Amino acid sequence: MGARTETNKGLEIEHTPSSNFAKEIEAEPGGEGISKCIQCGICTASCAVSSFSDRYRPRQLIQKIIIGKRDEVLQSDLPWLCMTCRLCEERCQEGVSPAEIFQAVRHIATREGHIPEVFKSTAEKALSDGWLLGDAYSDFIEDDRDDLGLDTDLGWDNEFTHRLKKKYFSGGEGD
Amino acid sequence: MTEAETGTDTAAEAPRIGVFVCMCGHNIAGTVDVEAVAKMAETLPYVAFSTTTMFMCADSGQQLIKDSIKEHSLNRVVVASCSPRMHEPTFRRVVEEADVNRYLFDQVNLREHVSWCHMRQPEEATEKAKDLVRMSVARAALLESLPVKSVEVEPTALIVGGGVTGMRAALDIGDRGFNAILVEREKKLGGQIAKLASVYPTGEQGNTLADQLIKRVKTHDKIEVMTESTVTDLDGYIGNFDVTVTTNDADKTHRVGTIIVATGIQPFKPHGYYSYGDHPDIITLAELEEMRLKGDVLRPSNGKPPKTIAYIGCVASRESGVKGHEHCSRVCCTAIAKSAGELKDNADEIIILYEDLRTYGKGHEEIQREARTKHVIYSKFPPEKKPRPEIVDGELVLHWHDVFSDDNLILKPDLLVLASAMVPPEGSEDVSKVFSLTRSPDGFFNPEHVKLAPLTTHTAGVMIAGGAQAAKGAAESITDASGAAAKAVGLMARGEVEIEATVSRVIPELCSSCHTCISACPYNAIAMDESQDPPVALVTEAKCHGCGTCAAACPSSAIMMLHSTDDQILAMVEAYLCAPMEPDGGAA
Amino acid sequence: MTDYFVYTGCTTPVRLPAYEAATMAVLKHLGVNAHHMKDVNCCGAQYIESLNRSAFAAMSGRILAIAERFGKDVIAICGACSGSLKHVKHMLDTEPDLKAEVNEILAEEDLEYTGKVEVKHLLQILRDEVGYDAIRRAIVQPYNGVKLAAHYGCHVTRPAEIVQVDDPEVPRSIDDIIEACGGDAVDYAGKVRCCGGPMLAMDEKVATAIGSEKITNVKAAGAKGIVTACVFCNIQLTQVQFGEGGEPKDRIPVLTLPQFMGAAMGIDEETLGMPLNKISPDVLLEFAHRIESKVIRREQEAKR
Repeated sequence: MGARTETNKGLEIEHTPSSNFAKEIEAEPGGEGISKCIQCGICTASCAVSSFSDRYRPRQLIQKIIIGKRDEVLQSDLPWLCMTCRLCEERCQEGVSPAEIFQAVRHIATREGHIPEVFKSTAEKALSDGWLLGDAYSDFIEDDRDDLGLDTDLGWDNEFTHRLKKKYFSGGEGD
Repeated sequence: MTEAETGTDTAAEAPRIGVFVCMCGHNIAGTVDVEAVAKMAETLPYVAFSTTTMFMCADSGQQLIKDSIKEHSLNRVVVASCSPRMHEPTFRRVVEEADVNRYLFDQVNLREHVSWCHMRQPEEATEKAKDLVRMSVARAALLESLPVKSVEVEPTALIVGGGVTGMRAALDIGDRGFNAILVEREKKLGGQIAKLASVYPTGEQGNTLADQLIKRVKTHDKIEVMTESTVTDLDGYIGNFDVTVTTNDADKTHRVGTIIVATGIQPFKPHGYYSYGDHPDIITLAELEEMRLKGDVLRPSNGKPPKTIAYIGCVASRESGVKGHEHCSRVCCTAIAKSAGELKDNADEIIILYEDLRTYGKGHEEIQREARTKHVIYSKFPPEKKPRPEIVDGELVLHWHDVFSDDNLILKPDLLVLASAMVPPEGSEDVSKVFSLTRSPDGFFNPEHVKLAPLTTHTAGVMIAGGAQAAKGAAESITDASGAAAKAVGLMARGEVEIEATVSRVIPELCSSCHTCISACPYNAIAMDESQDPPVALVTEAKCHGCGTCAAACPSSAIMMLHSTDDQILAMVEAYLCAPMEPDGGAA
Repeated sequence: MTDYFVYTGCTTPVRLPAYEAATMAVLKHLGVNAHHMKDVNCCGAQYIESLNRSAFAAMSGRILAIAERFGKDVIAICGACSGSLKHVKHMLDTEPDLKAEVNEILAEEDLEYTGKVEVKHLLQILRDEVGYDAIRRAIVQPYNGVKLAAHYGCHVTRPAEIVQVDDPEVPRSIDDIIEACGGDAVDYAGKVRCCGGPMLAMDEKVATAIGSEKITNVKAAGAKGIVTACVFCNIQLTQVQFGEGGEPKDRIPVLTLPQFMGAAMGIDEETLGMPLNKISPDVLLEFAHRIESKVIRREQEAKR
C-alpha cells in the first residue's frame, strides 16, 4: 500500500492512492457524501476547532480518506476532534457533512479497537450507570435539588444499558 | 466606387466658423468657465458666431447647431465638448443635415482632456480650454470639404478553415442567401472535433457532430467547398478582396466581400514536459481520444487494457514567462473529467493530478461530479513542485505532493495522460501575414477589441472566430462563428460600405519612387502604380486607415493626409504658440 | 394543549438543577402541562453516538418509546439531547431495518417505537405552542431595553433539515423572546458558532479558547448578559469566564432562557434557582427594577 523511498534527506514516506477506503466509508451509514467533496475548504474556514487547533483540518482529513490513507485515519485522534457542531454541514455547498463522515470513521475505528480513552471511559459510565454523571451527584447537589423542590431520586434506569452493553459492546467495544 | 459629394463647395468662400461650447451639465462647466471660452472665441479670426449650451448632443443642442448654421451662414463648425470618440459621428451627421460637408467639422475635447483631468484647477483648465479652442478654430479655417465615398460589397464570403467554426459560419451565411467559399487545407472537413471520441457535455462522438454540419455544407447550393486548399495571397479591400486559393499547386482567384478566418487550434506535443516521448505509455489527451476513436484503450507498451490511469492537467499551459504557453487552454479540465468518468468503468483506479479545476461551462460541473461519484480521485499538486515521473526498469513511476492532504504520493500508472495545451496550428504565421492580422503573445489572432469587438480585426472586412481567436471549445467556437457570420452578412446585405475620406494621398509629382511608404504601411494600402512612368506610389483609399505612417516616412514630403494636412497641423501649433492671431498675419 | 414530558438529560439535574426548576416553573406559569420522565437513560449523545450507531439509536429510541407508551410528546432542554432525540427519530423513521433492530431490543421491556411521538426543543414550545403574544402578556417586570446576547448552541439548530427548530444561520427565537421580555437582543460576531463545550473531552485548551472567543464577541457588541437554550452551553460559557486572567467584575451573567423569562414574569428568585448561578444576574435584574439601582437613577438623570 505504501512505499518507503530513501533519499539523502532521510526517510520519505510515499503513499499510493486508492479509492478503497472512500468506498468503505461510503458504505458506512453517515459516510455517503464522501465522493461529493470538491475540497473547496469552506468547512475548514467555518470550523471553530480548526481556528484554535494547529492539527485539525476537516478538509485535509477528508482528502486523506479520498486518497485512501486508511491506517493513518483510523488510528488517528483527528476524527475524534470534531465537536459535531455541524456548522461545516450547514455551509458545505456540495451537501457533504464532514461531521457525519467523521462519525462513520469513528464507528469503523471503534470496531477495530481505536478509541480515545476519554470516549471509552465515558461510554462505559453511560452503559453501566445508565447516565453520565452518577459520580458527580454529591450531597450538596442533592440539597440544592431539595431546596428547589425537585425530586432527589433521579431515577435513571441502567438495566437497559446493561443489555445494550452485552449486545453491542461485549468483550471491548465491538459489534 | 461611388462618390457622393455632400455639402456646398466652400473652397472659394471665406471661412465663417461657428463655435459651440458645451457645458455637458456639470461635467465640463463644473471646472471650465465655458462662457469665458465662448467669449474668447468670438474674438478669433473667421469666427462668425460663438455660443454655449447645456448638452450639445441633445436634440436641443443639435437643433441649435443647425439653426445657427442657417442664421449666420456658417460654413465650418467647431464643437467644444466631449471626446470625438463619443460624438464625432453625431455632430458630423448634424452638420450634414444642415448642408455642411462633414469634414468641415472639428471637435475639441474639453471633457476627457480638460475638465475631467484638471478638476481641481479650474483657472488653468479654462486657459487650456481656450488654447484648445483657439487651435481648433485655426485648423477649421483651413479645412476642406471631402467627398464621402462608399464601395460596393461583393455578396460572397471567404471562410478559411473547415472545422466546426468555419462550417457553422458558412451555413449561417449560405442560409441567408449569400455565397460562401469554404477553404480547408486537409483532405476532409471536420477539424479537431472529428478527432474526438467523446465530446462534452453529451458524450457523443465528435464525428457525429461534425457529420451533421459536413452533410449540410456539402449539399448547400450557396457553399463552395475547397479541400486540400490554402489561401496564398490576398489583395484588395473591404467589399472587394481578391483572394488566391491554391489547391494542389493550382491557383485560383476569387472576388469576395468579407472574410472569416477560422483556422482553429491544435493540441501541443509536450516534449520536455513530464518525460513525454521517453515512454510509450505517456500520451496526450488528444492521443488518448484518437485511440478511443479507433477502438479500445490499450497500453501502447504491451497492448493490454490499463487498470491504473493517471491524468495530469495544465501541461504546457499557464506557464508564466514561457511565450506561447502562458494561456489557459480552457477545454482540458472538463475534457479530463469526461474522459476519466467514462474510462473508470473499466479501470481500477483513475487519479487526476491538477493545478486548478475549471469546469466552468453549462453541464461541466456535473461532469466533474460524476467522475468523483465514480471514485475518480482528484489530487491537487503545488505549481512550484510539479509531479515527477521516473522510469525505473522500464516501468513508469509517478511522484507528487498532494496539497490538501499534505502527503507525498507515489503511483505506478499503466497509462499517463497529459492534457497538453491547445495552441495555434502550424502555418498560423503565414495566415497572419496573408490577412495582415496581428497576434497576441499566446499566438492567437488579435481581435479589434478583446471585449467590445472580439470578432472583427484591424483589417476591415476580415473577421476571426473560434479557436483562431483564442483557445476554446466547440460550443463557444460555434457561437463565435454565428457572430462573425452575422457581421459578414450585415456588410453584404447592405451592399455597400462607406469608407472614411480621412486617408492619405500621394502628390505624384513629388514622389521619388523610393518605396519607403510601401514598407511603412501596416495595412498594405499603398502600392506602386505601374501604369505611370516612372511608377509612383498610389493609395488604395478603401484600405487606408489614415494612420499617417506613410506621410511621416516619405522623404520627399510627397504624401499628404487629407483632413490633417501639414498646413492644418502647423496652424494649430502657431495658434497655440503665437496668440493672439490676426487674420492674414495682420496684413489687412 | 397536550401533555409533555420534559427530558432533562444527564447534565441538568446535577450540574444545573436551577435550569430544571426554572423550566418547570415557567412552563407551568404559561399553561403547559409538563411532567418529569422517570426510569429513562442517557440519550447517548457524543459518546455512545461515536462508538456504535445502533446502540446510539437504541439509547435515544428507548426514551422516545417510553414517551409513546404514556402518550406524551417530549420537550428537550439540553441541546445535545434535543439533537440526539430528533436525529434518532429521523433515523428510525427513515431506516426500517434500524427501526426493527431497535424495536427488537425494546420489545424485551414491552416498549415499541412507532413514530407518533414528537420531539421538541423548549424553544419550539415557547414560540409555537405558547406564542410570543402570551409571553408578552405574562411579563410584569420587563427588562427595560438591557442589551442581551442570544446563544443558540449548535445542536439546537443544526442540522437544520432534521431538527427544524430555527434558521441555522439567522435564528430568531431566543432573540424574539428577549425582546418580548423587554430586552434588546444584540447581534454579535460568530453568533451561530459553538460554545466549545463538546471539545472539553478531547482538548480542554481548544474548548476554552472557543468559548472565550464567544464571550469576547458578546462583550464587544455591548451585551450585558447571555441567554442560553442548552445546559451544556450555559455551563461552558459560565466556566470560561473563570479562567486565568478573568476578573470577577468583568464577568457577564449567563442565564438559561426560563430563568431569564421567569424573572420578568414575576416568579421569585428562589423558585428560579438564581442564588445558585455562579455569576450573579443582579445587573440584569436591576434593569427589571427588581433591585433598586443607583446606576439606573444616574442614567435617567443624565437623560434629563
